[in-house]
Amino acid sequence: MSSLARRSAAAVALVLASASLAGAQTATQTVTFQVNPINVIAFTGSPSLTISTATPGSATASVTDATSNWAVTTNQTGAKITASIPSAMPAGLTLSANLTAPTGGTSAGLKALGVVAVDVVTGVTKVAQGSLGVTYQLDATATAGVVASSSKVVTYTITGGT
Amino acid sequence: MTSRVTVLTRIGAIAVLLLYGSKTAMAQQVLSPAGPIVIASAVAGAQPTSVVAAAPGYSGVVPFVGQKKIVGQLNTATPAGVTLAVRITGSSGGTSLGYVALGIAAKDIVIATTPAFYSTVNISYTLSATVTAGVVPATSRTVTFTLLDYP
Repeated sequence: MSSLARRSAAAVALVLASASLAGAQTATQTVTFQVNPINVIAFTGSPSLTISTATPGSATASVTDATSNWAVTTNQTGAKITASIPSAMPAGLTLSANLTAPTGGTSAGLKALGVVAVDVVTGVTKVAQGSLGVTYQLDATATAGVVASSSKVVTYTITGGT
Repeated sequence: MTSRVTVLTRIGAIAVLLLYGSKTAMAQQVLSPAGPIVIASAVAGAQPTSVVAAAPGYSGVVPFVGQKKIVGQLNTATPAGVTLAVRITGSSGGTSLGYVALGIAAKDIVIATTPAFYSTVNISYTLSATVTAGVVPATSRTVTFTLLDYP
């Protein structure tokens, strides 16, 4: 092989090597991502309320149960939690709930529950918090009489903000 | 003799031109896009659930001598509260550092790779977000992987 031919071969080999390295040096990849609106709540506990005593002369008797908790995660602003029960309480009985608000939110305090949803916590904004207290209260007037054991399912709903 | 040299010279020149073109095309390899990666759920009381997504990888011959590492970086930072991490694994001949959060500064993703690593390269991403990130419409980032000498 002539010297020129050898030089050509050498040049080819050099370029081959550099091309391989250059080709491996950089790679790009486009990644697309998004975060959807998230609004979730969860409740734990099996509260039980029994009125068995009363203060003489008082029109109503009350008991409370604070064994339940709730948790919330929202990535929106101004979410709220409402509460309702599927059927009305017996006459003379009132079931109420009081939810502790997460940081930045506002509790409506003790709210009587009915078939129409009521706001119990408002202004819930971009928060993930658990172990928040729930207090239930049962009030009875004398007109309610004796009421056999009964259960109500309380439905809590979170409505996303913006 | 003169014509033989001329032919060889031409062959050499053509080869160089072809390889130069090849080099230009391969200088920045574009991998197939990944995603969309979507965060859409959470456990109440906890931050949104992170999502793991496999991405198109790479399979090829990357000849070199010694060892190299792969570093990765984004063209633009992710929105506040959002973290995009990548993990690259190969068939053999390298040490993956697991999921590494990406930013605009280059970070080591894999170290001590040998050519064998590149025969099958798997890429996967995790997307994490805190509630403070809020709702993030679909957006894209370009991840640049660069091969550097190691150590």
